[in-house]
Amino acid sequence: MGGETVAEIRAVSAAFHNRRALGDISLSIRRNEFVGIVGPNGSGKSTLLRLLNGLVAPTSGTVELFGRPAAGRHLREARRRIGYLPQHCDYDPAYPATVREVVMMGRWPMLGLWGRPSPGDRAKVAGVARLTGLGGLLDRPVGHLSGGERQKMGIARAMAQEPEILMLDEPTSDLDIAAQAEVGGLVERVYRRGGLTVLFVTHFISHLPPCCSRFLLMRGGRIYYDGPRAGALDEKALSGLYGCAVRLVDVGGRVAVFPGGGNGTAEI
Amino acid sequence: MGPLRYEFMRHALAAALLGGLGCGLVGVFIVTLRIPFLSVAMSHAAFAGAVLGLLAGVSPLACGIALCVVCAGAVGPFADRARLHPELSIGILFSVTIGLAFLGLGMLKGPRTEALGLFWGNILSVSAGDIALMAIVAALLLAGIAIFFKEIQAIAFHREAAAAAGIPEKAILYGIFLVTGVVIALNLNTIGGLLVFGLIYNPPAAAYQLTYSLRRMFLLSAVFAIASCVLGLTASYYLNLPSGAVIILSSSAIFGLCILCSPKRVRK
Repeated sequence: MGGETVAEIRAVSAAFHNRRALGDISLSIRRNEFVGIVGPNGSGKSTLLRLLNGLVAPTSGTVELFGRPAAGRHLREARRRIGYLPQHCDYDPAYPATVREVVMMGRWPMLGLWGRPSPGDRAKVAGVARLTGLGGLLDRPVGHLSGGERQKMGIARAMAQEPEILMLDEPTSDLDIAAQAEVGGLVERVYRRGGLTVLFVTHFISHLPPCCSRFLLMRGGRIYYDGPRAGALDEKALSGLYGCAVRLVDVGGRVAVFPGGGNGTAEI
Repeated sequence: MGPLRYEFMRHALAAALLGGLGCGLVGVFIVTLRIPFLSVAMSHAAFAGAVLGLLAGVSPLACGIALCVVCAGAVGPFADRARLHPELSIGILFSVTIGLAFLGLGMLKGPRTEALGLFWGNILSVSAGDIALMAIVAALLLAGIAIFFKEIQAIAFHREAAAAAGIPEKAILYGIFLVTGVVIALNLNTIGGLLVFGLIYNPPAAAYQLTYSLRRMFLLSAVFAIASCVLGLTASYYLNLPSGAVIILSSSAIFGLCILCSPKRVRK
């Protein structure tokens, strides 16, 4: 595996709304890894991401980012190196901004208090827009975007930060099949350019792109499985994870999980 | 020179320009951050402070501003500590301030004309000192928006994403609460505690109908609020009508016109 450790948590517990969300977990993320974080509702997937970028404080244990404790000034600096797409990007559809302005927001943390976007920042925004397929939509108001375009805009905004770690919290959950494929393909394309560590949270194993090399299965705020694809894509392991019998269906290398040992129809 | 030959009308015009500017600008915070209850709570805090000032025999304006500052400073940390939505913590604050206001009204001896007058205000009674204070606050508000524009834009779009990127969202948000409280307290005398909501909601809501740019929304909202104040003041002078009421009706009429002309409402 190798690679420098970019994020490390040791014996961490965390609470969300006075309920234990993470219980005594330890984890190390290395540079250039693509980690798929999968689990049922309430398993602590989103809390894990929020813990790593400092939005949730641990009740015990330690969190390190880029080799230093994630606190105070270092946390503020580390956040600039992390691109984050929240789970619910529930902004007001009539919010007065264009796609260009929202993607440019990814540059704000680097500009400081008095800084204004330079031609270099504008060029970076244009480049990220091309990469994410938003090149023709930059001057469109954000309220005029489809669900898939909104997610692409969120990823573009995070990428405009030129992050070393990209954290995506359920980027494909509320999308139709075509948009899921587009966003999944985009994440893979962005990752394959190199230099990026990706943490991709999802309910659906089939949404993880083929480049996902490490699977983190979570249940009840604990790590249920942490390892390569082969061990994660196992009916027994996934039945234990979801608490019900499941069946795996492999279609051209993409695996989907169905409940009920073959009788269920809804994908998990 | 018409009405401007009178000193009180020159003062009233200055108060209309400065009050309109302040309310129009803070109204954009209220609309884009979706915290409409903040202005209600702040105006009642200002009213409660003014009543307590009358009771103690000290300046109602100074006491109104002081209580607004205390409440504005408390609402953000209270919401964060109690893990409440800001609107709910503002609602709790509102119940405290309205209780204080009515307690103070009940304890006032003699006629309560001065205290009750704060509900509807009187722009014709503004002093040179009030105008100087309004000018200072308006200048600080303009400077604050110019300096922190990009941070305000990011927080209003998505608070969590802004925080995750390292933008000091709590400090900016608490600052917005504070300046909203001060602007409302300053307009208690001119527009009135009940009528000031109209000047805070209507101009930004009207501007919202016409633009997809936050910068233009600030500009249009300020213009609409100033126009409402000047129109209301002029109509009240020539038609001998209560100034506060005419100002609010003018701002409502502008909102109605903007709704009719809004490109956002036109079906394509």
